[in-house]
Amino acid sequence: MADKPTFTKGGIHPSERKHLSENSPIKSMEASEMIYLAVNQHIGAPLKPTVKVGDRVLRNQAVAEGDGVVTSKVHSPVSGEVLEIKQMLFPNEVKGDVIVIKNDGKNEKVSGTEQKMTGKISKEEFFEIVKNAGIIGMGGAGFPTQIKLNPPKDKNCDVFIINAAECEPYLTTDNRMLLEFTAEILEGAKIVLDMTEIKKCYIGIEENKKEAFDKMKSENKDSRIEIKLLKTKYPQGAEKQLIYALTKRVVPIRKLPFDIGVIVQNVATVKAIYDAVMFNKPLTERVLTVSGLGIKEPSNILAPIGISVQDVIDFCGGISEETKYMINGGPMMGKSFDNPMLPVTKTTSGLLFLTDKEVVEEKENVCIRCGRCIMACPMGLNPTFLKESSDRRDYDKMDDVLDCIECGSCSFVCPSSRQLASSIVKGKQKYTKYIKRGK
Amino acid sequence: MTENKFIVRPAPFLKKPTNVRMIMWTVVLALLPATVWAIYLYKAKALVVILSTILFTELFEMLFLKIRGNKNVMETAFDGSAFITGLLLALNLPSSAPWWMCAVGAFIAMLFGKHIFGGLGHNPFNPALIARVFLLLSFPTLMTTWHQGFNVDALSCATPLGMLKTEGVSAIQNLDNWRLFVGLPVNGVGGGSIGEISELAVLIGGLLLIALRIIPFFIPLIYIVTVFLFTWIFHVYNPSLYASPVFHMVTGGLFLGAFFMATDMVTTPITVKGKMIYALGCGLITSLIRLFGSYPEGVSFAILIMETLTPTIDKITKIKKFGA
Repeated sequence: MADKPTFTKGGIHPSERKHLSENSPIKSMEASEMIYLAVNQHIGAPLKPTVKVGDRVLRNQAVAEGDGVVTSKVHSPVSGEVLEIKQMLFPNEVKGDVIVIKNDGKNEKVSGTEQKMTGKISKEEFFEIVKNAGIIGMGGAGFPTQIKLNPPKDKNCDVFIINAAECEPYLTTDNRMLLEFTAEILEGAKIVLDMTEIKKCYIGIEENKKEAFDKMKSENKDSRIEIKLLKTKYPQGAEKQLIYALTKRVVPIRKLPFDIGVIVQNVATVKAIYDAVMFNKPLTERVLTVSGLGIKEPSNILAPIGISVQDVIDFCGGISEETKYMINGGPMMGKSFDNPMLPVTKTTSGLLFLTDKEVVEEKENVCIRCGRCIMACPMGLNPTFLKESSDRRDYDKMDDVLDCIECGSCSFVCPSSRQLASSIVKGKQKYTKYIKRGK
Repeated sequence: MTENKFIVRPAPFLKKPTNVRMIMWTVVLALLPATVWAIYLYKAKALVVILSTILFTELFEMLFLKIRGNKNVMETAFDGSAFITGLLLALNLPSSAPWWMCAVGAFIAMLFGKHIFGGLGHNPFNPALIARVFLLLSFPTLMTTWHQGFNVDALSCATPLGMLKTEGVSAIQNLDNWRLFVGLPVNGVGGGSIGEISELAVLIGGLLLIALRIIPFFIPLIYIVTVFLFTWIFHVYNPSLYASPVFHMVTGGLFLGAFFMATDMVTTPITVKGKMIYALGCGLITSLIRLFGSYPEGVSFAILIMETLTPTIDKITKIKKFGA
């Protein structure tokens, strides 16, 4: 049998560890008494709270909005009272406003939401619906979906890709969604195809999710949609790598997928589009994987956005004393944090509770120039060189940091345990500031 | 409420379970077949050279680490890198080498080969090769006095390559290439340096490193094939003046150099293309020295010369970015 398609440059094979949660059906989690809604969960112009302390809010009511083009909205998953609007410290020392809502348990909805919608909608209405539902890229990037689905007129997009690679170890969110929301995801894909007038849709699924692939394939009746099985390799879920694996098209450096006629959306995002279009339901909940050896019951849960990590921990049976790491996202690109009161956001695809059995801490050592990081880099960069220039702020040699997709493959393979990726990511910030200063 | 103390640090949280220590000690393991064979042939003589060279190398490593202010001298000294240098240097010495020469070599390797540049990862040249060439230039007679076959009392036998250089093709024509390859004693010739005796033993270790993906297969392949083709062309052109390429394969330090020294990560180019150019250069220079130089063997010089070009090769072999 011919080899399954995959990307060709670099890549790694970390141990998958998906068995912890891959067979656990999605469990719905009720909203707890307190909801912490981060105002800014997307990439783009910052939003502002549209409610005041003391206000009563309804379920599905927008509580934060913004202006500008690259914008989104945040909705309350419960009805209740706005207790306070405070600042919290998110991973990476990022401060952000959080609207704290006391759930009154009545679940009073904004009228007209969460009901079956009928009748045709126009293209313009579609983008408005997506925007008003607060849908953003739920794979982790958080880019407003209405913008991504509506590229500039001169870009002729002819391929729509649904990213179901889920290459991060531990995470089984996409896997469970494909299995349990098969019809909804296929329907969501059709909506996008109809609205964007794109004729071809690929759904890329890695080989380690064969069951999900089979189910999708057997239920798909639309000839425009093609479900493709990909050879498992990290970071296949990275946009440029996935596009190459599925279409053999290469996104030129510093360009975007729409420059080569491709739009990519994550599985969860497509499901959110379906919910918004079919049921006028804004994005107020998401499926996430709760896993790691530290959590008592590794699970996939459908949780209200804004629920605290502590509530998730309690829902999944608590964590063991050996738990040393809490990670938002996967173990390769996720961010560790130490405050269990932080909320789940629209981009939280997983919460991992890892012990020191799973995470081996090794002392950073000198580079022995083995070149393994270069072989592993899916972008064809020289990580060891970029780390050194980044650490030294050698701006003339740092331009390539902008092409780093932060996948962490370099750090993963380094036999000297050097924190290559993190240095380069910091270098990216330094270099971007340096360029903005006008060189 | 959760009481745990959580660690916050940058991603990724998973790491491939290989480290420098493991890589280094695997290389040591891969050098064992050649080492064991030499000890089997030359008994105590080889054993003394090998042990004393490693011992002195480790001692000087610790001394220079201490002087440079290293906090974990014992841990760093046994990361395997100094051990490899010691063992490689020993394999590059004749089995008749006196202990003090091993000590001098170890000193040179650790000081001028390694620590003067800032230690592991920063040395531009392979420390063992620096030491070998230093000894070769300083003690030319001691460095080219060989034991003959099993007989550790019979000295001063030229190596096959030495005979070729001084006496011409006729002198080596009747040597059994197979016995030379395997490292079986051949009448009238010396085995050469400890690690050059059996190309087969070196090859076994080298293939192990390739199988474990510690070294890339193409460096030794390109190096050896280049020497083969180069010497073959001349052999075809004039077989009475130039020895057969097979003879060049089975003698000298070609295999030891190609598998264990031209693959030294620290001193070779970092990109795949760069490594290929480097290996090709090593092959050409080795062949040139063997055929036209005044030294019978050119592996050490070839590798050292190409190492000087490593930064340049790294500069000209830019990696192609995805999407560029």
